Amino acid sequence: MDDNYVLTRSWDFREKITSLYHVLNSDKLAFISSIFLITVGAIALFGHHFAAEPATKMNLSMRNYEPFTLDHGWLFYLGADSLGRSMIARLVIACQKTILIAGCSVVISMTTGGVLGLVSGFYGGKIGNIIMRIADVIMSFPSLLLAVVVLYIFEPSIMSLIIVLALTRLPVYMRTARAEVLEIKERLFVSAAITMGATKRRIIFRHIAPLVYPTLITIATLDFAFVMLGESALSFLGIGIQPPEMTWGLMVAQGRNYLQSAWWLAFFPGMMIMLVTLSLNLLSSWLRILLDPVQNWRLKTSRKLDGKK
Amino acid sequence: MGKNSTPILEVKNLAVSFNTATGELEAVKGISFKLYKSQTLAIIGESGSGKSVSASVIMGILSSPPGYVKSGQVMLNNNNILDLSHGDRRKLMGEKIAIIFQDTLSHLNPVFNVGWQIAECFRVHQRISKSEAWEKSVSLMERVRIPNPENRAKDFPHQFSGGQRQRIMIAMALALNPDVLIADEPTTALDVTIQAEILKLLRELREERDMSLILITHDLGIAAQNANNVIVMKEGEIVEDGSVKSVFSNPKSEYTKKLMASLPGGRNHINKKQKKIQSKEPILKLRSITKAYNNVNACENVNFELFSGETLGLVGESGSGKTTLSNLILKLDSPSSGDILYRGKSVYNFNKNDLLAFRQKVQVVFQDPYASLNPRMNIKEIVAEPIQIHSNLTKKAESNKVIELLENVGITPDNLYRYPHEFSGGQRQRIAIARALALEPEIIICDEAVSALDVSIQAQVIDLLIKLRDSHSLAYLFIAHDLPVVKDLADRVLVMKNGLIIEQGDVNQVFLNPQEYYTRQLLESSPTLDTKILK
Repeated sequence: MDDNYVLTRSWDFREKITSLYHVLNSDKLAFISSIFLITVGAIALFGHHFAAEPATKMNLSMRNYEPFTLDHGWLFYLGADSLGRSMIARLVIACQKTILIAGCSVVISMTTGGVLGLVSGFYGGKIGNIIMRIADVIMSFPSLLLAVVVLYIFEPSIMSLIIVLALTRLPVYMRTARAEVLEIKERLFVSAAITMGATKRRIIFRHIAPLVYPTLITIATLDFAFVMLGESALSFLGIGIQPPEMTWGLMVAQGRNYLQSAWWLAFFPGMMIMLVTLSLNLLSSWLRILLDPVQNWRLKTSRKLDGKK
Repeated sequence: MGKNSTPILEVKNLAVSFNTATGELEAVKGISFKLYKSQTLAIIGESGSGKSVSASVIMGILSSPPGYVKSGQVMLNNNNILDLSHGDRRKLMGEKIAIIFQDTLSHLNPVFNVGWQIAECFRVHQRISKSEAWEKSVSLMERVRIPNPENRAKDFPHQFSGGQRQRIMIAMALALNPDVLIADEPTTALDVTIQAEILKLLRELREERDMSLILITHDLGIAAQNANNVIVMKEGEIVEDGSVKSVFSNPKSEYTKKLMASLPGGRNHINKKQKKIQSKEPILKLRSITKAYNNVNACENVNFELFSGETLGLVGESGSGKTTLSNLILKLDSPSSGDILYRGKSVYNFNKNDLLAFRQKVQVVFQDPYASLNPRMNIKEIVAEPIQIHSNLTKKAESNKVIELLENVGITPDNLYRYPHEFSGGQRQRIAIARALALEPEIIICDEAVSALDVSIQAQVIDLLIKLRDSHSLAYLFIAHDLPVVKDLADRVLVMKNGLIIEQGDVNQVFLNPQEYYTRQLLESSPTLDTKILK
């Protein structure tokens, strides 16, 4: 039985990887989204090797060059900016900083906000109240004002930008996590865990957290766009990312002046922000269903149904 | 049966299916039955047998899609009501056929007062003034014996007790004097004494109004005491039908025999070990435990002892303080006063190690196996959890132990990586029992552990509990509202009412010779098969 057991387990694991493909394939939108996100990820990682030079090479004769022609090579297919630099190259270079800033701040705010919310919901009482009042204080500040103040005091750098963006989004996660915990901790399986002698840490992270995090992940994907735009607003005010560094948000902000004459300066980076957010959204709803044992048959059986039809 | 030659309601070859992700699911596979005037037909079956689906087709409330009637007819006074238009059909509902449900709280609208809701039947079906409709509702409430109906009609559903809410549902159903009343598990959520009153009311009303009654129930005793004819359903088919007497005194199908054999209260179980135990020190001792919520005592001055290897039954109706008591013993809650001693040491003076040992030796199986297992953990993780908390086994030893525990309760190891929702209620309860056994406890508190299960499953779980008690020398504190179950399992019994223990003693002494009026009332209210058959 022992060997048998080990065997089934490893087989099961390999099966899981192959079935992941099938499960992903059964939701076409999630499949496309994941391919898009992988591409964006690859661009963020390796893009600067190829695009660093054309992204900074100015060519004033190409100022606000129109998109969708191949006369000057594929680099200029999406046009050129106000200094005649390739839009494609600039989008590629900006990708890295954008994803870095948005990704880091969303992950930081989700994890710290989630943990603080879990703790405050589970322990309640004094600790819970103090944590929630901190959330209230953050929320009662207009988030941009808070960012301006912090970035005015500290040196504007990517690090402080990430922290400021994370800080302003913190209360959403704290409040959501707390509300969910308050409900889940009254459930019977938590009582069952207590009677087994489970430590509080075990109950929070083993029993309660797995039921809370799908909600938090859904919020996080929505927040991704919010953070990217927040970053662009800060950059626009001159306290975020400074040229020659680039982000999509900053590109949108700079393109604003040319909306009448060269719409593509703002449109393409804006569309990238939208596409990334949309893909994350689609993928997260797929992930939420997949991770829920009660729901994931929908993904596993829809394949069969397609076959029948 | 010959007296009433034309049936008032006849179901012919009814088949109902549901479209599901895995294909067509046949819930009802071509059943036929007849209901005669002023008679009661009981439909007996366990969960998933298709009895409620059949009723909802008759009432026209089948949720469709995904459900649809594949074939068959429902003849009301020789007209097939399935052929009628929606409008014609709606006129019949309430006037000719009415239904009452099990879950009264979710079937009454919480934002309207009950008088308004009863009066709605009149407003929908008749041209009648507001005040007249209101008066009629009040008189109906009086008929179903709601005290002080003039004032109570202005109250909202949550202000009534479960039994009273069922009375209100009955009043609504009776408003238009229907020919047929369908009662779908009308008393399942209610205490036995209340159940007896509701059933008595239904019997009275049926006679008084010359109605026909379809009584859907899983309880053979209720069917035997209330019905003229019985049909037994299993997996969408009728496996047996006939008069109450013939079905219960001479069952023909294997399934009916099995159901009858599963009825609790029939086991002549004697716990041999128990006799020797009494002289020893108790493992658990409660000393004048009182717990008050907002100055209301949920339990008051409770004293008892639990000895190793014995089964102590704790009986009481809802609100008697049983669950409060179990939470106190499990240290999920602390009492207002009093003390609980585990092996002579107060559980409130425990240090960390004492508490860990206590958590290992005292385990619990809750009533609702749907809620007591974490939906995000698979069976292996669930059963392994107590082992991980209390010992440092290697992964391999741990999974061997889990497999052994699951096999012990009759779950095969190929289910290890499945999740709780993939199991039936009975299987889930077995998993919960396996988890409780993982730490080789001395005491298992079964808080209504078999109440939510079908009788045949209930019988299996009780047999399992008896087997495990004998092989592991466990002590059970068996909390239940169902007396026959307690009779099967317990050595001693405590009867609780309004937070007080009003009677205690040896199981035979309490059941055969109850001293208190309340205990006698409880015993008389619980429906059994033999009373009717012996008549």
